Amino acid sequence: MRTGFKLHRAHYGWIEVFITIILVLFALTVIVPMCLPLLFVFKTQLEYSYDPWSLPKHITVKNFLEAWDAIKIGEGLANTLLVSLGVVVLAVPCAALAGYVFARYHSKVTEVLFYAILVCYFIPIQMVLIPLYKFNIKLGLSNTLLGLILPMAAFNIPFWVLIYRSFFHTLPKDLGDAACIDGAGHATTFFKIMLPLASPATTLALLLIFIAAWSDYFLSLIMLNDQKLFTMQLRVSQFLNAYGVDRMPRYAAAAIISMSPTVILYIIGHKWVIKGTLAGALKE
Amino acid sequence: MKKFTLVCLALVLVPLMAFAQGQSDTAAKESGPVTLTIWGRDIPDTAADHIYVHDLIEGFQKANPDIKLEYIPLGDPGLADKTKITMAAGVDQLPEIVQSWGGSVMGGYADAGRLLDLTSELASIPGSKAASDAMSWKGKTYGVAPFFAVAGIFLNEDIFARNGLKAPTTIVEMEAVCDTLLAKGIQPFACGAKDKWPALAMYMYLVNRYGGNAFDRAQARTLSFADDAFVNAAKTYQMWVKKGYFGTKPLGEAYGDAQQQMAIGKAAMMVTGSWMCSQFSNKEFTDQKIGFYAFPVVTGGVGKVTDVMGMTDIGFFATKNAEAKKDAVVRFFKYAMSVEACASEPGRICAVPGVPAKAELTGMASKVFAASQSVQFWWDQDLPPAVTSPLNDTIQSFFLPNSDVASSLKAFEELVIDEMGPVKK
Repeated sequence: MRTGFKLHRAHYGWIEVFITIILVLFALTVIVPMCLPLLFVFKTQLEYSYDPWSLPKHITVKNFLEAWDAIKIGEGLANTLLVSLGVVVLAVPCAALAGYVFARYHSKVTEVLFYAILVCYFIPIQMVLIPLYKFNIKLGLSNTLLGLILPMAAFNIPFWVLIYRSFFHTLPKDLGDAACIDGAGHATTFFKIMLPLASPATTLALLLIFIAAWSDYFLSLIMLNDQKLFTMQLRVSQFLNAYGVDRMPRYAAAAIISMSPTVILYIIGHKWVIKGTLAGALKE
Repeated sequence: MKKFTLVCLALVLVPLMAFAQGQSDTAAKESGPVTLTIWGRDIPDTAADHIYVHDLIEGFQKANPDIKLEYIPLGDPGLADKTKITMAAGVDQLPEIVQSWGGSVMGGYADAGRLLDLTSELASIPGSKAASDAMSWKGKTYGVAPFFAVAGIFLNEDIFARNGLKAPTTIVEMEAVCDTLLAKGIQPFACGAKDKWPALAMYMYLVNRYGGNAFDRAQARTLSFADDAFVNAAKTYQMWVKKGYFGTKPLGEAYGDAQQQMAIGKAAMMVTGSWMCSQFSNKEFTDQKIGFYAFPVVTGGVGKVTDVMGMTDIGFFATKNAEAKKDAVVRFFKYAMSVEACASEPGRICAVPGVPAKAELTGMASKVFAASQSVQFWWDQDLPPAVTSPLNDTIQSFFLPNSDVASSLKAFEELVIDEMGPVKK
């Protein structure tokens, strides 16, 4: 006889409870580090040193004000928005088109091209940084936002080609054939039939590429030299690196400012992210 | 529909790209007659440990209106990463000036022909020899170091007074102090061994106290890094770890944790650089009274109390890209080394003569520096970059109670042989 208990009319066995506990623990490893800065940020340095884990005795917003002032968030916001939108506008259409071609048109050429793109996905950015930087100089794109947008988009494309290809594979081929019989060309079939059906994947790509571009630090650090062009992450890192974890309350303030936009974006768009992730998971 | 999509894409893409491309042009047009770009570590705000850079930039701009400074703070490791990549790519994209600790890292850039030789231009600037040596490589001077740091013992005066203890002058006295503190439930040393590099300061001193200039000889390849001086120092270090001088979980504590332990009086001593003077004198950071003393000697050992470990605290070098602006760069370096510019610094040891120490603690560290007869540059700034990371790994392994320190040093010596050659007979 299986033992268990009832919750909201559903019957849960001990295995489900055990799995849930494990999943909750996994979730906590992500949630707790995100919440910890809130415990530190309202304390003075000395109060934090003596008792980091207690609730603040006197709430101070000095750390926030100093971090906000040093980061000059307004200047960085426009640059980051421009970079993130630029990367999305370049990467998503390219990935969708390539993914569709690799899913629908099978030939030796497309196979070779697909695996060539796939190989690019496994190349770490650090490996190609110096040649990429030199290439940017040759093109006259060094120290420009375009010089950052182009490689960032290029690094995002291979992964999303793979995702789009898998997604288009799950769509019935008959839809395309029917459109073809009705006189639709390749472009019409893609834009009018296939792309709208791939909207969950597209939403997911839009959100995640935007968040990835927003959070980028390393490529921005190398490609941009002018303080006026610095993105949010670079500005936040300037502050974080200057104070370090030995000034945890200030560090926490900068960490909260840094993660807020992406957390808000995820809260707004999490339904689409889940929908996009699950789309194509079940095939009827 | 097709046309509509293409028009929409074009409408979004063209202005976006035009704007993104135009960003640098706008920035370029705004530059003045002579612009010096400086890549720095600290943000130029008015916090105690950044005030020098803040006042340096503001003061220089006021005194030199014909030169525009563009100071870009990149922090650590941002500055190191960006400098490395940009240096590898060539000279054109380099800033005119880079903040640096000098030593072998700067030497690598000098060997690659990326730095501007300013030996004759900077020769007349007064300053400590150790600081000047730190910004020189193979006989050529590439920059200035207005502030120099020495390693020593930060010691909680209140704890020592309460327990009737005095600052130790020999290793035997130090062990007695540590045993007393342990018996009273006080952790003798804060270290930060999790971050590896903080453990180096004490080891450098132990090797010196046992073997004198053993490091110089090992670096010159006339002595092995697995020699007795290195092994004995490592064995002492490991014995102290086993006794609990560094607490119960030293490998779980980072440099920031060690600072907190000193700040609240949880640990009584910390062997580190004098750059901590400004923080340990700051009442917002600690409510303890902390002093600074020279590292004790080994009775019968070779090293003297006046042998000091040191490194650049704040330094700058000029890149080859500054060749056309040499005059402006030299003016900046001279201002950086002026009493006027250095006077605002509350905590660091100034390499410029005539700048009084503002804090009592800095005064104590300055005395140790002034009394020094030889200054050994921090090992991980003096050895080739390829062996510095393994060096810190090796020293961290001394914190494992059962590790064989002699074998670890032998393995390190083998790596040194690969990178720097065998010991010369």
